[in-house]
Amino acid sequence: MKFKLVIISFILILLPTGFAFADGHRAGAGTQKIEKSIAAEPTVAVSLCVDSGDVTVRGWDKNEVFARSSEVGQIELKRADAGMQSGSAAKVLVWLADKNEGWEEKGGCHAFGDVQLMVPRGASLYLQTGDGTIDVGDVASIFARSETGDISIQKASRSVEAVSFSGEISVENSKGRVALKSVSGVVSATNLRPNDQNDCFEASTISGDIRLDQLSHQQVSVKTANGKIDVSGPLAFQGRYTFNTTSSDVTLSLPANASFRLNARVARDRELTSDFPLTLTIEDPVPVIARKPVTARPSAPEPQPAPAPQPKEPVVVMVDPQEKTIKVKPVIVKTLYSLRRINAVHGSGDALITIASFSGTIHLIDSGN
Amino acid sequence: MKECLQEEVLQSYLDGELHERRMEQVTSHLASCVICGNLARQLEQENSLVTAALAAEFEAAVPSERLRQRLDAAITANRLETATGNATAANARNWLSSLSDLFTFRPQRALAYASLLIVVGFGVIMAMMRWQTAPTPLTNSTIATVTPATNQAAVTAPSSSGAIQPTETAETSRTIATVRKNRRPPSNGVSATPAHRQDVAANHVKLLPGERSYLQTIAQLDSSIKSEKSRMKPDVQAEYQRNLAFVDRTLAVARTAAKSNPNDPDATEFMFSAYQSKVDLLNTVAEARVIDK
Repeated sequence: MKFKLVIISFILILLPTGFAFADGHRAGAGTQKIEKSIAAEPTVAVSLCVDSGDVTVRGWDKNEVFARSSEVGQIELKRADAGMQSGSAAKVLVWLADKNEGWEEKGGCHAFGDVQLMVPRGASLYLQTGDGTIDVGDVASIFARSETGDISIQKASRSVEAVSFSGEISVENSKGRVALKSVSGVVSATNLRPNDQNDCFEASTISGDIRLDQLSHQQVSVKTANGKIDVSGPLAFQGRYTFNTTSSDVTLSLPANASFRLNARVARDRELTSDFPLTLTIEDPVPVIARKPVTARPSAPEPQPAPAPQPKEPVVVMVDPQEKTIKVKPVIVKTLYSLRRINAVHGSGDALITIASFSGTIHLIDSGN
Repeated sequence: MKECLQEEVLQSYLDGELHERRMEQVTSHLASCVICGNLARQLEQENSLVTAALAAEFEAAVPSERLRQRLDAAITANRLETATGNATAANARNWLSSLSDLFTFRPQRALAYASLLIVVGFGVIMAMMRWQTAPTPLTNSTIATVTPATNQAAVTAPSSSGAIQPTETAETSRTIATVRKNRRPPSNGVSATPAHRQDVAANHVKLLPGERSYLQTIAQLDSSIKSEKSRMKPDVQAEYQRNLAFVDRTLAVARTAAKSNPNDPDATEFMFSAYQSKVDLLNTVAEARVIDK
């Protein structure tokens, strides 16, 4: 009896091990890297679409498109520049096919498997994947679309356009026009510069947060319905910044020497907090409710021979529509009416910041403090 | 009396049923008229023959006075009942006849009836329109017509079968301004479809100018998504529903604020911005390849 128990236990221990070994052996036997390459122009346009799988693309100095995958059955690099079959390819379609698919299935987006591409640094990419990630670096232009996977782009030199449904989008150290769109993923952009003054930066989400750091574009447009907006870094000279959110906060962390004009639209009972001394200009209120008696805090004292000490804590100001211009020190502005416009200036007012927040709070933070 | 007497007159004379003066006239005429005299004698003979032949009948017993009274009472009662019924029927006939006078189409009356018919018909049509458009499933229209064209520099990207058009603009205000160009003229008396029915009642189901184009686009995209919803990946579907709830809540609040502050253009801008957010969400989902195999 005891001997039988020992035998049974031994078998039970060995069986899972055997299966695991068999699976590994089968995987090892089927994991065969497939590589293809084709001569291409330095500004070749490359298109790739997979249903599921990670896509990794890097730019290199060769005038050649190189594709590699260890999980698909077939790879074909097809020239898409009709009529020019000789010489280097100007347009390349990367076709992937699963092991069990026939030739007629190639060209669709049904392949499963990770793919690595090497393309010329001046290449333009058009990439699509379903639930895989897209990782691109050191190319000229990228259009990347992932349904649920993350998108990461570095060192793009001309333009970036990325769309993800629920994945995160990250763009770093790139130049040119940038347009990022995600429904619920976080959109982050770091150290971006325009190639010329016409290049703009756009980011939009529905519920994902948007985090921007060190953007040099002169035209920045950010929109989200329910995500937070966090912006840090210096403002571009004469830049135009537009931030639009419905129910979230907008936080701008600016250097102490930032110079800007602020046009803010906020709802009633919402605040605009500022570490910067602002010169507020209040527009005529919309007569929707009766005016309430407001006890405004005294404004900053007139210049005296002995300068008055500046308060360290921000001053709470109830905006009085009778006072058109108020010079205040660091301030918390509280609005009275349902929706109000608050115009303010700090410094010489070089950049223009337009913020619309229906039910969020606007924070202007001095990053130098 | 020069004219001959009629037979009926002679018969009445012979029966003694004429007045006294008339009797005298007939008597004098019979004395002077041979024809009437002969006719009178002939009638007397006939009467005597009839009397003789019916003598047995004439001698039969007649009903007594008491029986006669009873018969008379019964006849009288029967006549009263008949008279009552006739009176009721007469009243009904009078009423109907008065009613029928209303439908006598004199010119003035015809004009009044025509005007009343037009007013009633108009009211019925308006009521039907309100009832039909209250929870309206909106009709189809061009996909994303409110999505404005980008004004950015062209991106050198290879075209493929799955090319996706950029849908963002440089600025939100420009987005809304471009949407306004695509708006249809406002219509009266139509109802909206906000996310919550409480908002419908609260906002009096009246659309602001420009809402209709958004609602039509949203309906178009929504129907497209719903047709593929069964094939949508579960995680994507859950994410989509979550974000849709966000947007709908935001939109409801923004609409309420816009309708509560009709003089505030900012409130209207926020509402349209919320609409645009929903259009963007639906566009993204509709274009996404999220079909589960």
